[in-house]
Amino acid sequence: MSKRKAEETQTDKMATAEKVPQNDYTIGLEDPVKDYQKLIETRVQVDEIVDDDVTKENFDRTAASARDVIWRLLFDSEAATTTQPSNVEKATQLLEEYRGDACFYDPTPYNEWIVKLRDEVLRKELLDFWREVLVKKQLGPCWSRDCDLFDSDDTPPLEFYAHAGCTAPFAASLKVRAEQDAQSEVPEVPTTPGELSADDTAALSGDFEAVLTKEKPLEEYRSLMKRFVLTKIIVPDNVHQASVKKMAAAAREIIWKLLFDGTPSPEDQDKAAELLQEYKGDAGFYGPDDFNEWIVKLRDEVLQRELLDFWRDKMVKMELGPSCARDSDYYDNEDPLPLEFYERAGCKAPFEATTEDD
Amino acid sequence: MSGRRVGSVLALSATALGAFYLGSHVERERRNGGSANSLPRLPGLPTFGTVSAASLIPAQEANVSLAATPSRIGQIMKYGFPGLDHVRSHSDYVLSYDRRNRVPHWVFEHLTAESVAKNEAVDRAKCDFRQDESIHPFFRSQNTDYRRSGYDRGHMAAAGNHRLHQKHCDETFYLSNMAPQVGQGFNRDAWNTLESHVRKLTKSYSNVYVCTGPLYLPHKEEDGKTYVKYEVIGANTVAVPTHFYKVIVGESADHKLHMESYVMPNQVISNDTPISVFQVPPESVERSAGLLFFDQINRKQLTTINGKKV
Repeated sequence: MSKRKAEETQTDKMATAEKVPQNDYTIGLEDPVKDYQKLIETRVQVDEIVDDDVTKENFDRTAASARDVIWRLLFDSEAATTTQPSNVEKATQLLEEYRGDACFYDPTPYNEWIVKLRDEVLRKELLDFWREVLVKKQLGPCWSRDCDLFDSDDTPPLEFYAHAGCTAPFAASLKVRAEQDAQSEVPEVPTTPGELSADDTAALSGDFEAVLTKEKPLEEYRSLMKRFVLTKIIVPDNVHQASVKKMAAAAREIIWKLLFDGTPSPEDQDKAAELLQEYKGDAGFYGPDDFNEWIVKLRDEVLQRELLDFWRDKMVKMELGPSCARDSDYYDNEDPLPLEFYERAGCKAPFEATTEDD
Repeated sequence: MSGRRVGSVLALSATALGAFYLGSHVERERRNGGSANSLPRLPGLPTFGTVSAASLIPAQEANVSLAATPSRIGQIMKYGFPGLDHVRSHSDYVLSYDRRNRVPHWVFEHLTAESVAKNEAVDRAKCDFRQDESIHPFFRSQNTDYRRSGYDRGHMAAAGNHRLHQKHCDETFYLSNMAPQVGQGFNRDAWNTLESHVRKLTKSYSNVYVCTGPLYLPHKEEDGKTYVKYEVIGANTVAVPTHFYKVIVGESADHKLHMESYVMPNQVISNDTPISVFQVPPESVERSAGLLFFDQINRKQLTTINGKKV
């Protein structure tokens, strides 16, 4: 742990708990839910760091106040007649609100008290309230259905609801679940890793033929790369590098053949340019030194053979010169751009020199 | 010969290190004047706990330790530490805390039939979810983060695994041992079923070791790229893991080792799904978690993995 002290937070501690009049946890009968929510917001759900004991104490007092008000709303015979509908409504809302918080902060006192409330409700024969509110809205004891302090090993509060001809609304689903517990084991799918494929074995040893033909050099290059270089298995670096070099040599060789075995057709020039672009991209990733050296030789040969279309439309336009910061992470903006490479046969580099800021 | 030399060198260096840390601790206490405004410290690693896989630990514990003693930590961590980031030791479990995500990296437990048995003296209802004051306030999760977040405060080290003493149970309720878990259908059901299964293993094995933790697994989206995406809740931005794992080793009476490993998604799982569906090769969990579990055991030494002969 760092030696830095949490002094700021420490001095803030309990601040919120002391800003308010200490012992006033009044919930009025006018709008009890609003009063209750305000107490929770200001004294319990505080976003600063407060001692948990303080928070717990504050919640317990708020809860006690809420229980008291609910009891009075339901059983104080102020009107001496049956309890007013508006009071029952208020009690219902506050009970729901309080129970939701009790599930999170402190279910035990709620679970004990709600039994007493039920008994009093049944004794006073407030059966509508029992059926429509306590049972239907499932406002009995908190349990694993609504509270993370319980789990499926705990006994569900079925018994609580089994009064005055009612049953727990969740009784049926528990029955279904009990039946499912006699579950059958599903046979397992074997997950043993398979043997290495032939390609992976070759990739691991670097033992593969890299030959490209004039027909489809780009597709062949890609497929060989995929099979023997871009594998998912872990290959030692030296083997991997040798494989990359082997592929690069094959690409250079077939490009040379396409261009310089006699006069190249436009198709062959296209094929050569496509493969050259792909090879340049890979070289920019795997290490561009070989490419940068060879591409100068290729350029000189192209110009000597006066393949000016290939020079202008492919090499210059497609930016197939030396690898640089524009296309490879081997370089950064402090490295000089290869402008000079392109300054032949009246051409210029297809990009601007980087302007110096300083 | 050389073995003895190495032993004595180790003993010497351990003593020197111990003295150094004790000294620096005393100095620190003195500087703080034993002040109350420093964070309470918990022992991290056992300094003198010798951890050996050569001998089975007797299932019968004569006395229940209420402090995180080196010997108890040594027992729990017998097969190696998955990682060493912010290790916290409690009296009956060891935790590595992920300060960035405000949840554990992993927790490690050692269970016996005795430690998971119903105990009248231990009442889960007496436990409260509490912030862990040994964690710096910047990285602490709090109850307010979880309230109305739609997620449970899900135990990594389960309360039901630590029934030798009330204090052991209480300590599993530190919020540093929690991660946000889907409640109904997961934390209170399927995940709980897996926890029960691990406890039941103490009937077959004299010692059960279990490592539990969160995963943040990638998934492919419509653009064909793979992303890791997870919610964070509350003012403290507590990470909601996408999955959780348990990697378990049971030591049978005949000294054979059996491993099981599970990964479960942090979502509603129907009750009729057998947990065996969630068994995965242990190395796949290791790759995803960035940790090595039971590194002191050569996988070839295991008798079974996920019920299959090795």
